[in-house]
Amino acid sequence: MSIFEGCIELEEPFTFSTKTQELLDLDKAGVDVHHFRDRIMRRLRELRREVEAMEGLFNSTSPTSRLPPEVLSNVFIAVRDAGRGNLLWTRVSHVCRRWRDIAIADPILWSDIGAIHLRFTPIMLARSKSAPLVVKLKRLRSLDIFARESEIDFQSVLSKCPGRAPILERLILHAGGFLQGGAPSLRYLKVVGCTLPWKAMEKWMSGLTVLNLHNEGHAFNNRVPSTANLQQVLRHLPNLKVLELLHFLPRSPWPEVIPSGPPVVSLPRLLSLKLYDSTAAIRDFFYTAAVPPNAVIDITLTDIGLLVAFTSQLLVALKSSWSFGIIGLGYGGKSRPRFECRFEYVSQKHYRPPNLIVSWTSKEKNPPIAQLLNLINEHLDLSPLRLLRVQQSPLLPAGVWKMVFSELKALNTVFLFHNNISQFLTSLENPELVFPALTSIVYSEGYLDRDGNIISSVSRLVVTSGEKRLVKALKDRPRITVSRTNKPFDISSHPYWAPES
Amino acid sequence: MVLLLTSDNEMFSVAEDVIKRSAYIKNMLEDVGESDLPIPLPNVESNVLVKILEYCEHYRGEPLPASDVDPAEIGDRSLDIADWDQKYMAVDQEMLFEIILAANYLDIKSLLDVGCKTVAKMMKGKSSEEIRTLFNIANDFTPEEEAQIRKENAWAECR
Repeated sequence: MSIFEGCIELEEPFTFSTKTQELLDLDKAGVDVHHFRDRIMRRLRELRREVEAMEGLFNSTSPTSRLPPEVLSNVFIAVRDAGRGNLLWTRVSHVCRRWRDIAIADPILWSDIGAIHLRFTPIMLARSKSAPLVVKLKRLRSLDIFARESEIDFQSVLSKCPGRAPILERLILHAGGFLQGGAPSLRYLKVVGCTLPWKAMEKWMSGLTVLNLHNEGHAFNNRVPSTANLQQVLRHLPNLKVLELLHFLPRSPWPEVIPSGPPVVSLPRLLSLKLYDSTAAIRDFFYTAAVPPNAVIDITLTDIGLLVAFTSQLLVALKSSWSFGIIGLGYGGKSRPRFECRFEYVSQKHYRPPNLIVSWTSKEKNPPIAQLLNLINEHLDLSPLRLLRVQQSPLLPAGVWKMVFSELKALNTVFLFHNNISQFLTSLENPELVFPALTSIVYSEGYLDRDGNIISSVSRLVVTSGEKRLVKALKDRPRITVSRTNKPFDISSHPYWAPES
Repeated sequence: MVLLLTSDNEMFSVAEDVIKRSAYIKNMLEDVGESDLPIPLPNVESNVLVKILEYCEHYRGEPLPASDVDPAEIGDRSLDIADWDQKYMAVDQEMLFEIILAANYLDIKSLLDVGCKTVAKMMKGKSSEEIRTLFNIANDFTPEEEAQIRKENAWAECR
C-alpha cells in the first residue's frame, strides 16, 4: 500500500490530464490498434515518470531527506547493531530509493556478517566490497578455512575480527604463513573459554588495545598461562588500554610462595583493568605488572574465606604496582558483588572528588567489614577522602568510625543509605571524636527510629525519636547540616557516581 | 566567553568550557585564538542552538571523548540511551533531525551518536512500510526494484 492511499481523497468529479483525456476520447473505430497500443504504452511510461517525480518531491519533504548520507548511514549501522545478528535490519534498504542507494553504497554496513546465510551472504560480501569483515561464528565446533592468496586477503579479513566461538574446539586455517608476518591492525581480542597459543601470541598481538579473556572457572586450569607466558604476552602489549581477565590469571602457589620485588612488566597506556580471580592470583598479577596511576582498577575476589586474611598482602602487592587512582574492590558472584568497597582518589586526570563507598549486601551474620575497612585504612591513604557513602551495610562499629573516619581532615560529607547508623550517632555524641571537616550528613528516603535505623518512608510530619537524637548529638556541632534525600542510589549502575557539588 | 551568531542573527554568549564539546568550535578557537568576533553558525538556528547548549551545559565538566578511541572498542553496540539523553531527545521529529544536523555540523560526536540511536530506536522492529509512514516517505521503487526487494525481504526473514 502506498503512503498516499487512504489518506488523501481525490476531488470529485476527477479530471484527467489533457493527454490522457485525448486517449480516452479517441474514436477507436478508425484507428490502427497497434498504433493505439503504442500511444497508450507511451502515456503509461510518462505517467510512471510523473508518479516517480511526485514521489521524489514528496520524499524531499521528509525530515530524513535533510540528513547527509554519512549520518543516515550511521543510523542504519545503529539499527543493524541492535538487531542481534538477524537480517531484519536490511529493511532500511527497502524504504525508498534514496535510503537504498545510501545503504548499498556503504560497504561498512554490509561487512558485519552475523551468520552464514545461503542467499544473503553472497549479497553482503559483494556490497561490503573491500571493507574488513566482522564474522561471528557462534555454533561452530570445527572450522576449516581454505584459501589461496589470490582469492582472499586473510590478514585484512580476519585482522579486525572480534568474534568469539565459545564451543570451537578445532580451528584450521589453510593459508601459507597465516599471520606469521603479524596482524598489526588487530586491536580488539575477546576470547571466551578457549585455550590460546600463549607462546605464539606475541607475534600478532602488538597492536591490541583491548584484551578480554574469559574462562568459565577454576575447573579449566589448563587454559590459563604460566606466569612466564603471561609476562611474555604483557611485554608485547605496549598499546593496551583495556585488560579484562576473568579466571585467566596463572594459578598461584599461594600461600607458600609470595612474590617480591618490583613488577617486571609495564603497561604504560592501560586505562582500565578488571580482574576476577582468587586473592592470590590477583596479588601475584600486581607483582608482575605495573599499572599507570590514572588507570581504573576493578577487582572482584572469589575466595571470601581468605578475604580478610590475605587482603593485606593483596594491598601490599597493589601498592608495588600502582600508585592509587581509582579502585573498586569487591567479593562475590559475577552479577553483583556481595561486598563492594570502592575508593576513588582524585588525580589530575579525574575531576571527581575522592570518595569511598561501602556496600555489603550479603546476609552473613558477622561480615568482616570492620576488619576490611581497618586494612584499607592501613594500606591506602584515606586522608584526601571527602565523601563517604555507606549503603546497605551492617552496623559499622563505633571503633571503625573512630579509627578510620573521625580524624580525616577532608571528609566533609557522609551519605547513609538503608542501614543502621546508631554507631555513627554514638560517635557523634562523643565529643572526643572530632570529624574536623564534616559539614553535611545526608540520609536516604526514610526516617530514623530510636535505634538509628533508617525506616521506610511514611506519610507523617512528626519528628522521630532517632531524628531527635541526631539533633541532640549535633547540638555542639553547629557547622553540620542534616538533610534527607529521595534520590535512590544504585551502586551497581553508578560505580563512579560523582556527588552533586 | 565565546560569541556565537546563529543563522537567524541571534547572538549567544557561551562559556568556553561548555561549547568546547563541539570539536568544530574547539578547533576554531585553537586555530584563531582569542577574538571578540562572533563565530557564525549559518547552519544552526537559534531555537536549535538553545537545545544544543542545553546538552553541552548538562555534560559540562565531563571528560571529552578521546578522539583516538574507536567506539567499536568500547563494545557498546546496543541502542541503550542514558535516561537524561532520552528525555532530552523527547522532541518532535523536526527538532530531532535539526539536533542531529547541528550535532553533525558542530562535530559533537556524543550528541550525534545519541541522535542516530534515537532515530534507530524509532525504526526498531518496524516493517519498511511502517518506517515510511513514520517518516512520511513514499515508496518510489520501480516494479523491478520492488521485485528484488521482495526477494531480499523473504531471505532476510526466513533464517
